[in-house]
Amino acid sequence: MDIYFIDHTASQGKGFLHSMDIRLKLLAYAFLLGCVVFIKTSFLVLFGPYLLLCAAIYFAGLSLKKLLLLSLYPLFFGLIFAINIPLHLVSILFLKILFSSLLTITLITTTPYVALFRYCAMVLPDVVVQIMFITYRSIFIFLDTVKHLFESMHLRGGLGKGSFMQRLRMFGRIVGYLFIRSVDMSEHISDNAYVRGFHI
Amino acid sequence: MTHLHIPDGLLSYQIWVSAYAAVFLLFVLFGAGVKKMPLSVRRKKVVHSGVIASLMIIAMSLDIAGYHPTLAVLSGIVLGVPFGFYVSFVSNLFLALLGHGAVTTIGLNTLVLFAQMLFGIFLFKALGNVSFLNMYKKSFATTFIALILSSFLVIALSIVGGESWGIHAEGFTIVSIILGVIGSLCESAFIATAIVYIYGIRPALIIKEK
Repeated sequence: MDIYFIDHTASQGKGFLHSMDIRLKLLAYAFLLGCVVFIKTSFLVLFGPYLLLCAAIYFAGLSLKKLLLLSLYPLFFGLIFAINIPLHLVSILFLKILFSSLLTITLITTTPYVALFRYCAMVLPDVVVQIMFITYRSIFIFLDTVKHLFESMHLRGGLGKGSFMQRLRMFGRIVGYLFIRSVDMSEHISDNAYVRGFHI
Repeated sequence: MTHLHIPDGLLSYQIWVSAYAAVFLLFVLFGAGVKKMPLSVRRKKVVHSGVIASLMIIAMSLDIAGYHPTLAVLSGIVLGVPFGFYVSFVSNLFLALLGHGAVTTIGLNTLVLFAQMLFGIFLFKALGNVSFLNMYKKSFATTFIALILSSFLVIALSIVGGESWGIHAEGFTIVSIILGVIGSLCESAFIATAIVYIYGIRPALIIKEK
């Protein structure tokens, strides 16, 4: 999960995409996403804006290679569709996947999450926005917990041993442990938030 | 295959716009119930939902040969209905923002994941009174049935939505069912272990007292 990279780039970046007005950025995002959704037949009509987006990423000082690699991920799932649709539509399907994915990744790597969630709060209920903030913070905590857990298991020789079923059971116990940790963690966060005057 | 991996622009807009409308309708419906909750309960539930959503996001970004666990059944059992729905939405929104999905299918995926949670919650309750099944078997059966039902929902939605792309329904269904059944068996096995583990330490999280 590249959330560390995304968070760091969004908050520390200094390119023109970072300093652009967020409303303008969201409008451009919505327009380009609309193009991806509604242009169905012409590969070249979509390929032009895709190249322009790549150029914008490059000139904004972002790592084009890294962002392109991140945008490849949904392509794997697109393969399931690609093998089941007529051949002449495969190229435009792949372009749509890459374009929409790169577009979203560009938005979140150039906009700090607080600013993005502020705009989400305009259309989403308060409870959902509060859950979003807590989720964002908890992802980092859990990623660290999982990393330490796997490191300690590796050091004790607990990883990579046993049959497939034994590994599944081990994975199940890890999930169970993380769920119990989540209860303790949420009680702790909730009490702290209350003391600091946070009222939901 | 227990939630849609459909890229933007594949589904017809009538389907994903309707799904977004249904999600906002459910926000209004559940919002009224949540507002009536005592403040202390609501605060704890909101925080716990956020923490569980983060776990789901981490699990859903694991990729095991095209399948990734959703933890939706377990989250549904632990959180219950209104907050389970919020968690489905938030986890799908985050995944879409991280480039692991499509923005247009957030609404549909929320409904699919929520349906999976509902199947799980009600099946688990229904199997609760069956005395000849132990906790592992109950949890395994609940998770497997919920995942298979939601897989069928995903397949149906993908075929209906992908009609304009001339999707070969038979080929797509076969590939999806094979991936879905293998993945669901694996997920059911480890979710059942997780439920037994939690039940042993904190039974109140699994079996809610009235």
